[in-house]
Amino acid sequence: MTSESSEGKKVTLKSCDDVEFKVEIPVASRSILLKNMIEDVGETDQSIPLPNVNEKVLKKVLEWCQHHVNDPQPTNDDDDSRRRNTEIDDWDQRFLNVEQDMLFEIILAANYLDIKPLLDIGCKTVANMIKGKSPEEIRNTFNIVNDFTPEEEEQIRKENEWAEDR
Amino acid sequence: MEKFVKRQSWRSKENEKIQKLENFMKIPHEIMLIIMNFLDGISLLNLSMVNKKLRYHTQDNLLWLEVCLREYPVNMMNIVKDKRRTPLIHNYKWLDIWKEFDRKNYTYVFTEKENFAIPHRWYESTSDKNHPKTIKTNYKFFELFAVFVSIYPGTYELIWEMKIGKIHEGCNFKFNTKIVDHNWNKILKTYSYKPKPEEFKGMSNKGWCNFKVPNKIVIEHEQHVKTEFRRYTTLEENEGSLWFESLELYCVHLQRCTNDGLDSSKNNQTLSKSIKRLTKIFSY
Repeated sequence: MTSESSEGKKVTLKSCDDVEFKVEIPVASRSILLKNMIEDVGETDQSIPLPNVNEKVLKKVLEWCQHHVNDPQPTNDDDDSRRRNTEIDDWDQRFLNVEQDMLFEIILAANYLDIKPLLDIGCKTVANMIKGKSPEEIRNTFNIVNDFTPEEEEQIRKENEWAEDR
Repeated sequence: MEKFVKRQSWRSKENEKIQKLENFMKIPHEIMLIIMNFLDGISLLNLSMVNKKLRYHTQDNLLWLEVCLREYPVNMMNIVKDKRRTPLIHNYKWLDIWKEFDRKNYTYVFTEKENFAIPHRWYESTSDKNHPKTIKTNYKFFELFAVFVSIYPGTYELIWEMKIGKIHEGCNFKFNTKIVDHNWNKILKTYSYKPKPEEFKGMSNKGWCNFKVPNKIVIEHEQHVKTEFRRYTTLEENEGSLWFESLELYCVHLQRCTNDGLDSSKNNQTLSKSIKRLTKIFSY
């Protein structure tokens, strides 16, 4: 199936809570998982079930795919350059300005659907929430309970500082 | 019945909370690796102290190899070039190597001639007209070195000019001073001083203060002085110890004692070294 012939054609995606989304093929193809599936199966009226993504998250992810529909597909060998670039563009920043739960759900969905650029900006957003924070501040940010015993904590603290008289 | 309903809703709220707690922890290791690859070494160390799961995530050896390559490319080149080290590379724990680099880059020289440079964890600040260029840290652990080169014989005192914020209980400080021979080969003498908590408490939120290290440093020949100010913790010594909320440093003076018996009348002013500024990262 070439990209010209897929213009205007739609595919139906079904979330884990049985909500169907009719999506243009180029939009769905931002997901490498779906792109490969569509290429393999060819034209079909059957909906594609996505057992790991619920309606709310799928809607959000598709919104991203729609906005970025004309972006070039990432290649495998630009891993390094994407890592070095820690900036997130304005639209994406606004897009990811969601509750933490949603952010993690988007990251998990992007991973499952194999949408690398979305996975990256999601991970960058989380990294920016961690950067420069003390362990206690990180716990507060993400609602994490400290499960170390005082002895373990002291041990780790010692490991993380400098050895005496070096 | 109403009571029961209320209780139910309370319960479901609790469940929601638990679910929320676990959300970040639900992220699998391969995704955590992507997140962690956007972080610097210090942030990763802090992350490793949050809880057990995150500690597990942060111990990934290849993650630390990448951090080393990113943050200390020059040091890494030296490892690769070093023929004695190359056969060992596959067995390296890169977190330890990173700590080794981090420690080295934590060593400073105070001199007047060199260009000014400050490493991470410390940042440059301006305090007032008399202290236009200072360095500041909010980080709990630190280790600062100052090196005075070619000091004439005599008896000296060290004075650190510092400004400290709020003080918390929880750890110790130590001043170490080493006398090194002129070839930098041998440590001839070591002076160590652990100040008592009261000595620092008086300086908290008081603006700029001079802290005089009580050790009298005796130099017999033309030698170098390496002095160190650090914060550390140990399990045994936790009691009655402190940390600062912030610490600002302007300079460290190596000041000659006036009545040290050596012809102090002659060259008193020229021989005493007052080092104004922390200037260069010093690594061996």
